[in-house]
Amino acid sequence: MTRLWRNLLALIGLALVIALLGIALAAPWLASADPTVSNLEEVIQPASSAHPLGTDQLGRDLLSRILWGARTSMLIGAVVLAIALLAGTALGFSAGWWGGVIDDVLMRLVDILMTFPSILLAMAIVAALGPGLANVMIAVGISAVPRFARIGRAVLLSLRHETFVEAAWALGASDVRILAHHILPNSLAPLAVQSSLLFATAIQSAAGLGFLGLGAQPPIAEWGAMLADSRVHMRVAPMLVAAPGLAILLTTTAFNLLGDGLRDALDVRLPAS
Amino acid sequence: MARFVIRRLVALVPVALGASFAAFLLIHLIPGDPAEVIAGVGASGADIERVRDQLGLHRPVLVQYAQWLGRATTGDLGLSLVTRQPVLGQVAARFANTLQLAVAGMAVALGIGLVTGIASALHRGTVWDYGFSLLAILGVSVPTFWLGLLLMLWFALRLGWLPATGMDGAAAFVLPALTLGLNAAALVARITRSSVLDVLGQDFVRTAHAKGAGPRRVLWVHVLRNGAIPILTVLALQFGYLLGGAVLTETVFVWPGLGRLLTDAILQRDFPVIQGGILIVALAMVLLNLVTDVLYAVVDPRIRYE
Repeated sequence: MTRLWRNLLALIGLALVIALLGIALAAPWLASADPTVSNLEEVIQPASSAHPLGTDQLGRDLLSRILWGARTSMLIGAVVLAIALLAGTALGFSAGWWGGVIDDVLMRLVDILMTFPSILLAMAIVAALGPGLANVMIAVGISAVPRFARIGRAVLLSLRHETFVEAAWALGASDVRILAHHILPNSLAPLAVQSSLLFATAIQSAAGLGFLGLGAQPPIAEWGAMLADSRVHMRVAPMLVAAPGLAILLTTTAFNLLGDGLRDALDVRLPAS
Repeated sequence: MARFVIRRLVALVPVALGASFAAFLLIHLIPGDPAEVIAGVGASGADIERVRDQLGLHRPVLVQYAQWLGRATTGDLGLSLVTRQPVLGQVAARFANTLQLAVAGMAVALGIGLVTGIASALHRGTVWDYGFSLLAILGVSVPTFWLGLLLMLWFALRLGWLPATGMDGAAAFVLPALTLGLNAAALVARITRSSVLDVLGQDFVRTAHAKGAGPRRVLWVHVLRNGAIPILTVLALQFGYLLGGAVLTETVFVWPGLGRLLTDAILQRDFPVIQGGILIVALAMVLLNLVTDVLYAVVDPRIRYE
């Protein structure tokens, strides 16, 4: 694979991610109709100038729902990332920094959580918290914590004996100061790569849970739930199934390409798990 | 080898215990009073007390866990709150179905992933390589449930070649296995490609060519055997993912598997079934890790476990 080709793919990913973020932010202005208001006189209409992608089984404008769905998905990605990044990195740093019993206990905990396939772990947490979009974000976020804990710990262990860390220590810097000012800035590259890849998996997992009926509840415009609600009509109106699926595919591809590109550009070589 | 397996088994006990504790604790993660939530909206005080009593929720948590675990070791995972049937029987039957689907999906992943991965590596930089790499990126990103719906729409509903739902006969396996396996196939292809490329650049491969070994012999005996460890790691991880990810495929194709059982149990707040199902998956994953370790040693005799 030539560098050029890889760079091209990464740039496409970046452009798509920027476009998707733009759509998510501008959805209220881009969408021509309210995505949640049904109109039973216009159910399952074919594409027209009023409804470029047609309407769904409740007469809602499909394009508007896809655009608002981008907003939902980006929100999901952001919240999941915030949970996993904050909790995971804090956990991994603590384990690596203090070592000993703390390390053993925290890492055994991570091992146990990693025993469960992540979608099942998220489902289990949803089982306790109850179905719903907010709970799905929490559940997917928690299920991604072990990944970031492992990375945080690995990066910290590789850095803690570097000269600049020992110098800071010798100068009397506190643990917290060293972690915040010396370790963290040097861990950003692997964390950025993993963040981009997590964005993709988070959106896909949340859409999956939405598809199972455990995630976003009607009438929220969420791509996974839209697929589940429209699937019985797919013979007569394939667009109802094609559009949300393509949206998920495009979004996950964009973040995966960006993540792979960042990995190349930042030259990150860390275990994936 | 026997000693190694036994030692690994013993080392897995704490992880298995931890996972069982996590599965058990689920019920106590419920915000508020678990008995009230499980009994459901509009349940009377007597209903709530009955749930509390049946699940033993009035006893201290650790006592509950000890009793639950004690019964679990004898194969008693309690009764479903919905069907009143023993949980173990339901979970075991459904798990067997999921396992069959996962094995079929794995076969798809292996077949497609290995062939395209090796082809990409051997024809590095050609149109085939670019094409496969693009397909691999899309394959990793495509939502399985959507892929399943598309395959169903086209091959079952439009063309009528294959059954759309159920698990009667070999034909019924084709679409679900493809759906489940394609994600994994993409990952297997990626790792196979990079792993084979790594090995191809090594001195012993050149030596093998130089001493007159045919290209086929070099590939099978020298390259693949040495590139097998990273591929095996991904395969083991993927098999675990297939067991878990099967839940989406099962929902699309109405496959009577564990994932479907769990989803329904979650929607009905049937906690004994949820706990039992999660426990079985966790134990399966722990065993899978063990099998992977043993396979490493088989593939690469240099690996010694002391």
